[in-house]
Amino acid sequence: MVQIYVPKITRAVVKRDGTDVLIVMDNRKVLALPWDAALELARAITIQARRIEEQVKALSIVKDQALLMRSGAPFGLSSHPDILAEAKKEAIHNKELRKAIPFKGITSQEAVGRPTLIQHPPKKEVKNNGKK
Amino acid sequence: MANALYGLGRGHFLDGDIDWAADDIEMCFMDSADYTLNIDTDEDQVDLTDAGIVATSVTFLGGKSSTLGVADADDKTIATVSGDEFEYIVLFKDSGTDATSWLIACIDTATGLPCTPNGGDITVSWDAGANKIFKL
Repeated sequence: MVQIYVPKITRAVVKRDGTDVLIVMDNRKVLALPWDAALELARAITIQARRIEEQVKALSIVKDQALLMRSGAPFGLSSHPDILAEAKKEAIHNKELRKAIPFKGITSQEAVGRPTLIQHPPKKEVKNNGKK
Repeated sequence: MANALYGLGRGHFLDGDIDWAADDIEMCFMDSADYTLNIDTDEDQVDLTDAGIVATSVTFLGGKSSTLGVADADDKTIATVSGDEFEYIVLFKDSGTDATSWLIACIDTATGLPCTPNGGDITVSWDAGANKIFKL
């Protein structure tokens, strides 16, 4: 892993130099990367930054996710199991949320047909009057 | 109440306890004066009070199919029905034991219901529409 020590940054600039991407901090070039490597680095930075954002904003994500769960929206704002578990608890137990969005359950889509009863006349008893 | 599937019966479909095509399915006529329907709590044949049963098919439904979740079968006739007026047609799985003979559907809306038996045969001709007997 490459570590860059920057004591104090007052100004950071990202610019291009031919096919390279440069990172200039306080007028000093600290990193020059080919464009494809810069893209990879940017992706990695984005992923890590989003993970951190998820942690920092965990409480608000939990509340938003609970709202979605309560309203039955079929998507998640986070894939972090702890956040989802907490959101589930919130959706179930938060009194204000429960009052605001009462759970009506899943309505069954069953359908039962309407048959027809056909009543036949009773069979007549055959009387043989003793004849064989 | 409209025609409906028993709530616990739906659960037994999901749990794999009822196989419409393979299991023995029976039908009976129920008198609402002696049987109080609880569509979400009635579960098995034990819940069908003896006094409420006007007639039972005894033999099983034939020609069953379950294509696309639509349950269908041949029309069913119960011979020489007599007794009280009945308001419900109840379908259930006959496992041979009342406590595990799961109730499936209760029909209270049908042409000819309620019906006062006259001692003759009664044929139940299932709906020919999209839902047939019922659709899950």
